[in-house]
Amino acid sequence: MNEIYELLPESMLNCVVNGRELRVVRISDSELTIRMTKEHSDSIIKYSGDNTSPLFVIINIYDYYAGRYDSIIVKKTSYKSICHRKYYDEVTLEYLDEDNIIDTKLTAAVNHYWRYIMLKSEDYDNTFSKYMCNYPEDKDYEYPEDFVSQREKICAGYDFNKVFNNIESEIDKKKYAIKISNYLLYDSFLTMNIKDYIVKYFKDAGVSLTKDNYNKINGVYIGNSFCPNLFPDDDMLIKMINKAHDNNLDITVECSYMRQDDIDRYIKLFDKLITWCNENSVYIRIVVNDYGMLYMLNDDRYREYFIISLGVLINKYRKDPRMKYKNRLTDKDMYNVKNAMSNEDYLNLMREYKVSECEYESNPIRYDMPLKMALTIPFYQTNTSGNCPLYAKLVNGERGRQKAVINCGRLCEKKVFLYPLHLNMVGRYNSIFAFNENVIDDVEYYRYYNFYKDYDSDKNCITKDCIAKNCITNDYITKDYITKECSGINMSEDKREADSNRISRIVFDFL
Amino acid sequence: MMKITAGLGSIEDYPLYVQAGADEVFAGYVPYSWNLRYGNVYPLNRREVLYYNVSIGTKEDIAILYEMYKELNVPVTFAFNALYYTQEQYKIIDGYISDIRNIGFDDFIIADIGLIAYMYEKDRQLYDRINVHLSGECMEYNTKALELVSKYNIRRYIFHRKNTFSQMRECIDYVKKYNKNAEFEAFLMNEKCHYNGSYCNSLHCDELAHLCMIPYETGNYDNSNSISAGRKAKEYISCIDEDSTKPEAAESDDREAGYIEDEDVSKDIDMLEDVDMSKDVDILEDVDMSEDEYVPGMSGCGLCAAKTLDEIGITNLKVVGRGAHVECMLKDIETVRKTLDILDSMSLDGDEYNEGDNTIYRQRIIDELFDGRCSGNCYYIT
Repeated sequence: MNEIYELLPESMLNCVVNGRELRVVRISDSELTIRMTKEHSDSIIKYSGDNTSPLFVIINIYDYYAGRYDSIIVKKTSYKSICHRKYYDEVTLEYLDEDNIIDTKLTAAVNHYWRYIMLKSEDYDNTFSKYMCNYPEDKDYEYPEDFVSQREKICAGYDFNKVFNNIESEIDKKKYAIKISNYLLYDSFLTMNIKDYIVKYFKDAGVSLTKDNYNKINGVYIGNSFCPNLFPDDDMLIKMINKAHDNNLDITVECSYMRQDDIDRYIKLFDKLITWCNENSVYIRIVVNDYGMLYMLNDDRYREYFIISLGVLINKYRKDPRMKYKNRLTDKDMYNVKNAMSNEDYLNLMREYKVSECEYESNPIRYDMPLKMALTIPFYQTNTSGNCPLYAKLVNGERGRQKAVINCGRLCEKKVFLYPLHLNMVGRYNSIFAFNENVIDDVEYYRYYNFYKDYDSDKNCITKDCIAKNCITNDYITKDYITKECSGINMSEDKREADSNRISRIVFDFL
Repeated sequence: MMKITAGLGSIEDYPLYVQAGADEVFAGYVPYSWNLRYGNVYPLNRREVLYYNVSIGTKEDIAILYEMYKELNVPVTFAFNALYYTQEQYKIIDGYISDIRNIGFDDFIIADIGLIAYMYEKDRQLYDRINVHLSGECMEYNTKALELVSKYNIRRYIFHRKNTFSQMRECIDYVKKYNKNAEFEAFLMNEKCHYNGSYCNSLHCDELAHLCMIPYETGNYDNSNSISAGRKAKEYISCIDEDSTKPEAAESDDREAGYIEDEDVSKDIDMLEDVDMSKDVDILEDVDMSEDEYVPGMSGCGLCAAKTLDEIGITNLKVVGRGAHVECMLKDIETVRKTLDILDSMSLDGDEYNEGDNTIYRQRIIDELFDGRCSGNCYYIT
């Protein structure tokens, strides 16, 4: 190494001197300059020439391809000089790089780093990704013709009947629902016969099920988790839930984030829903994607009739269709991954607001979801914008020239953002979604969720203690409700064993 | 007077930021012990990269920063604003926050409500000694959500990029009823993300572009003919303000223009904010991106909105840019400082502005800061 490197990123290169992590200001093949407070630099100076208390120096160099740090004990280190800056000292140490290990590792790391920087700064496409992780950047310019044909081609490659087979081989009493999440679907739902609607719902996505499996669809999700403009108006919503109820469908109302201006609207809506539930002696599930809405629903009026399910906008987890290219992602990082839902404190906070279920989407990583969950397949959300980027692009010419719009003209009924074919992504509504393929015919996927028993009884919401805390001592669940079949809470130890599986519903959402 | 808070990537830049006019800086802390264990697979903050100087990496450097702070007196806030952490990470982060607090810094940006709840319940002694800034990456801001977090004694609320003025105003007025000392921060310069940080779950790592930056095309939902005779998408703009001169839409690689079915929805378009596509500003296009051609806010700018932000109660203006070129950051800070100077000169003895000052203010910004041309990449379209 004939070079002297200065201020390389700290994540790339750092050192530990006598147990203290320090910033490497400069490094060459024989000298190392570190930055220290004036108070601590004295402790280094006093070691000079003192063989009884030698300097113990470790240099950590990030090896990008290995995805780990190489920690090298630096031998024969001695203090050379000190430079007093205004706020700190720079202490230079001499060292002996036996066998040129440091030289070799550092040169390789720096070469890789510089190549990355040059590619990132010179190219406007993803050439740097190709260099870093073999990302097929040359495929980034092949697009589908339109979303419907893209979706049909993707879905046609899978037998969705296997989803039903996989679930039923592992779990009893599964519920299957479809998501009705935009006005075109709302209109069809209201005008068509339910059985015909369900068949059309799948056929439009390029999916063909057996007659038995069509008949197993026994629930609907009405609303949209991502765009408040696509939430149906009150009259339409009541009509839809009436129709769902008349056809014995399990009902879930899916709400998005709540804009400040929408607070009153939702208060009135929930009052209407309570009235409806009371008149029909039915509870409904509300998917909540807003902490403010969660707060609002934490009220005695709502508890008797609403089951609260935490939506994906506030049940956050890392998801990206390019996970397989991510450096340092091991198998361990793909399974049994935790997010906030596994945290006792977050879970307790959610329980405080009577959350008993969560929404989860099939995606490349398998997260540990300790609550009963509804598994949405086959698309998952990756990004959502509060101001519609599609509207901005179409009306203002640029995706970034966004503003909040109430009556947006529902341009998403006609337009989408099309992304490279190889990523199986789409910009739909105000969000980006990707297709997860391994959920369709991978029985292990379902087995993973349904026999995963790493429960801690204190954290498991379906233990007797949790039941006592959340369901019986509070008025949240009435006595009558306790005896009803529900997808959230188990009332006895026997039932707890039988229902230790996580997935309570499969929800089909083809956007 | 509002304060400028600027993103700091390396401690050596701190004195320069102070000299440029920053009133506060915010920084990340990602020690080797975290990188060793989690890398950027589980990032500690929203700068999820290893190959940039975007976060402070050692306690020693934080101690040095404190020495700088003692002399220069510009506060430093530390960001632990990843969207979520795991239970074991809560303990580790609690330790980091404790270390930083012991060095002498009190302010922390947090986005995971679970972490706040953890520290509040499990380490109240530490929690009471720090000031929590609730990140805009946490949630949608509405008064009900603010009620949910009210018990946590939040010191500062950082609005996310998509909040409208009216939303911010209502939230500020609400919080001030029970916490007169609360502070409110809004984005002002740089990195105007197209998607909400709080709802952005995709990767932001060294090796891959941001998912939202993957090349895309505006296409059709299906293959039915959606280009039937109809209004051009741009005509929506003319319905809002027929007199204004609209900037031409940027060059698009769309295969089709954004033609919409012929349906007069113009009367129904109901904006939450008035749209004034500036008459007089010449929007820069095809700008030379070389360092010599500095244009304030090329990646996001809210300078024209600073007056309104002041009026609604914003106390801190965020200049994003940890890891950006320090020269650009210094220019951004100086630009925002000039903006605040303009505001100061307009307000009468620090009190409210005169009516009609909006136009004067905007004109001064355009003339004095942009020389008549701006990026057009507006954070707050006003």
